[in-house]
Amino acid sequence: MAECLLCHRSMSHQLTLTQLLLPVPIEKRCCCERCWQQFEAIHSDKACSVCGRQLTTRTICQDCQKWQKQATMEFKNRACFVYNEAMQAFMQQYKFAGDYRLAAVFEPFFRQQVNRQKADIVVPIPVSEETMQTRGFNQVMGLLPNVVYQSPLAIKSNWHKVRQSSKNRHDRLQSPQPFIISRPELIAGKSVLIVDDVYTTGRTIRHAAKLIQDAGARQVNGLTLAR
Amino acid sequence: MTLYGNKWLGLAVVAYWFIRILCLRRLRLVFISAGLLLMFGLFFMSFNHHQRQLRLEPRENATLRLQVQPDQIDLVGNQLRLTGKLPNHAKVTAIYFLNDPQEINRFTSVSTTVNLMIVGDISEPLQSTNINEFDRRRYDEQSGILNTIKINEVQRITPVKAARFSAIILNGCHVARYRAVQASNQLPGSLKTYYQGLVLGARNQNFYEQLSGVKQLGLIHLFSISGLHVTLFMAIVERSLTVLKRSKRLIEWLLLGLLPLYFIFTGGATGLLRAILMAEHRLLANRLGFKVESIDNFGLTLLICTLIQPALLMQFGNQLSFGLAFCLLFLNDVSFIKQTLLMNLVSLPFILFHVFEWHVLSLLSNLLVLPLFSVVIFPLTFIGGVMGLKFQLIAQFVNVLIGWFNDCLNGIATLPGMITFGKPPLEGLVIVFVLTLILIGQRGRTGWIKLTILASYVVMFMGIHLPMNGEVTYFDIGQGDCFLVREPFNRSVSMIDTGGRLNFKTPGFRKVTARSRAETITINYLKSKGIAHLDGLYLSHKDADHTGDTPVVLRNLRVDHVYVPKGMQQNPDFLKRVKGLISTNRIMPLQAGNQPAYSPFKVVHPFKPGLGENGDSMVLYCEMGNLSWLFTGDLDRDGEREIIRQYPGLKVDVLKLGHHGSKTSSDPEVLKQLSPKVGIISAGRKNRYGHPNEETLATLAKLRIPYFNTQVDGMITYTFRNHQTGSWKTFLKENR
Repeated sequence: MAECLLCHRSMSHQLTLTQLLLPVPIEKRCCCERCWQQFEAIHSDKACSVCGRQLTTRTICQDCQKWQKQATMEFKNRACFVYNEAMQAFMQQYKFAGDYRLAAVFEPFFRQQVNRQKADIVVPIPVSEETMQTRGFNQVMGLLPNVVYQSPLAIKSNWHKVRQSSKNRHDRLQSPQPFIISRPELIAGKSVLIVDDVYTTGRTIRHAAKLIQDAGARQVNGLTLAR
Repeated sequence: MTLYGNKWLGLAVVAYWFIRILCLRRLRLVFISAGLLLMFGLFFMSFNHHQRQLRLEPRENATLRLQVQPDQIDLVGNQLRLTGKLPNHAKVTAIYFLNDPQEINRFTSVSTTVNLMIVGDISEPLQSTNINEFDRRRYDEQSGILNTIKINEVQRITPVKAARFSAIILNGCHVARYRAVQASNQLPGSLKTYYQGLVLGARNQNFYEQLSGVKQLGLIHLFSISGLHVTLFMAIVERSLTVLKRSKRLIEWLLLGLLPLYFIFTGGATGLLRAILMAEHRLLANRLGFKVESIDNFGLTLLICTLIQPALLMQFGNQLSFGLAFCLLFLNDVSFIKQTLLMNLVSLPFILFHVFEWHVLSLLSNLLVLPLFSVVIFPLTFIGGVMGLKFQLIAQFVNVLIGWFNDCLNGIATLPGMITFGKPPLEGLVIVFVLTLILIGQRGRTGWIKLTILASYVVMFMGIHLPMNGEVTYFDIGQGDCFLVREPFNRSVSMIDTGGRLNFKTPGFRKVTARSRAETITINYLKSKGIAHLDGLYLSHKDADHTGDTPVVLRNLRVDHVYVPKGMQQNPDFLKRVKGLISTNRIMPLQAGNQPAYSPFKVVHPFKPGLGENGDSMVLYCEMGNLSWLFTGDLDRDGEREIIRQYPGLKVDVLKLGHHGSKTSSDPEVLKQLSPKVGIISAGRKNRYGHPNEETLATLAKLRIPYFNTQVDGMITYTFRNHQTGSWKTFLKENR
């Protein structure tokens, strides 16, 4: 008898009729229905068309209107879930407490979303050496163990370590480019999907997108688990 | 040989399922499945082979030893029916006609497992000979019964002393059941039927008569012992032991042991086996501390059941039992009303396929009666039955309550609402069944599915009720006549004669109330074609083998007019037969020259009023499907010659030979004049009159008239499109 990774209650593996009869693989659920319901999925027709934030209609949110004034970069992000309390708690446990197993909760769903984008290459946002040492894993790659991805990006070596999540909004928006292109040959002429765990201000992913676009990518899009 | 029923459908299901497993992309699972498929395939193959080996060759006056359980002996009138085992473990049914009332005592005193030394005629179970007729041979084969034996003499009855432990338990259960049924015979009317049906799984002779309402309202499934009963049985054991302060562990272990005994005790129906195995799995899992998902439990149960009875899913009752149990697995989170509606929708394809009609009120009755049944009637029956054996007063009281309930159901069932749908094509039913599964599986918007299901049913209904083709059918109803003439689009539906059995009274025995052939063959066929209404019933003359089942036909079908040869409408015997079933102004006497309105027939005989004897037979002429037809009843040679005299130019293409091919009819001169292209003989197998007569067959041969014979061909059908030439089909040649 399996137990839910999030609430640790025992859960049933009762299939639905559709799961049983349709000729598609059955995804193994790692959390119970109750916990799953806590996460709020974002439908793309009710979200910001640029950053993927949940809205009531498909328009462009205020943040993104500001971004568009600043730069003329063609960049669109899709977010899968609202960054609500449950997601926050999940990230806390997964990223900061380092509970690597939890990746399995979103792995099937997130993988589907990545595959649906049909990009030439998938690029996860890298983590710094320091983070790697304390956390032990890249939280984005942890979510995508079965996806082929490339790493043309690296963190600048002189990048001084202040966690993004410990800064306020203003500071974050001001933070300078942390990335460099380490392998430009991977990007040229390709459509690229940048994947990250959370889109907060958009600064990080936009830094990465800018670099990749300047390195000659045909198209750059983003996909984040939460927004 | 490992598939039963429709091979293509079976293959399609297996193939789809295998693809579905492949799509799981789990290599180990694919290998396990393939292995299981192979194993089960081989098992069924060897099982069928083994069954064929066990089947005895038909022969007469064979001496056999038959082991019979006391609860499997059934005495109806002067017929003793029993199920037993031959020494090689082959299951057979046997029938014994008791000619001496003294002989009854030998059997009523049998109260333990016995060996019968018998002399009897071995044959295979009867094959059906008409379209959509219940096929006893196939049914028995699917239930593992290989032969039927007509017992001529029972030489010795000796009690069996069981040696093995399993045999002692088995025989003990059967004896206990026998005693329980015997004891319950003292209960009053309705309570007795309910108690025996619900608690003991036994159906006495009056079962269907008394419970006509239950049957018509689609509640009969309550009487096939299944999940409800197992739940109740477990509840009773659990409660009573809890009161006695026994531990839960002990109770569960006890139940594990008791359930199989309960299975045998209630007669061993497969539907019950499903419920019991599922309960056993659950208990065992509880006890051993692992959890089985209900789907896995269901799957495992189905596998085990097919190992015990490979063809079980071919039978109506099991299809319902397993089908509903399966769908119920996915419906535990919806409201009771929605659940009931969906369950009715799931069972509808099976009901239509097997019984062709559906009562609108069955939906409502399932909704209202089902809870009442499990909460009130069932416990009441149980308590009333058990206590009533000791205390007369309780039995009387409960009997009154149950009597009311049953009368209510019978009353409701007579309300209009029976839809004679007809037997839909298998393809259509597969489609609606799959759609129904989708409906159950689909969360969210289901409007389009509901609409498609409704549309499919409507299309099937229209297809059945407005058929492009017409038909002329000669039923094989044994010795007698019964024909159907139906124009395309059912513009008119006429029946000529009803068939019927001559009743020979045997003194000293109760009357046997067997279902008439009209019900099992003719009416059954009409209902399978969606027909519940006859424009005309033409009775050629008064003999029982032509009109005997008239009351049954009038009771089961709406009949606009009954046409009889002139004079017969005053025959008191005939009037007694139809009394109260049709008003006398709908009985129309006809004579030569008449052509009733909207009728396809012209009457060419009788020329003068008579009493409805053979010589007064009404002879009908019609033209249909580019052929001309003559139906002659039992008309004798004098009458035939009279027709020729009056209609010298009369020619026919298809001639029903008079009087079942007797030599008193079919005058060679008349046949030469009519010059039929095809002759039809309607007669029973091994009839006591020797019909058809050699002389008639010689005449046919001499005149080179080919003929069909119901004795050999079974049901004979000519189907045609509007004004086009059609084609002949005979049931037995089709199905051999």
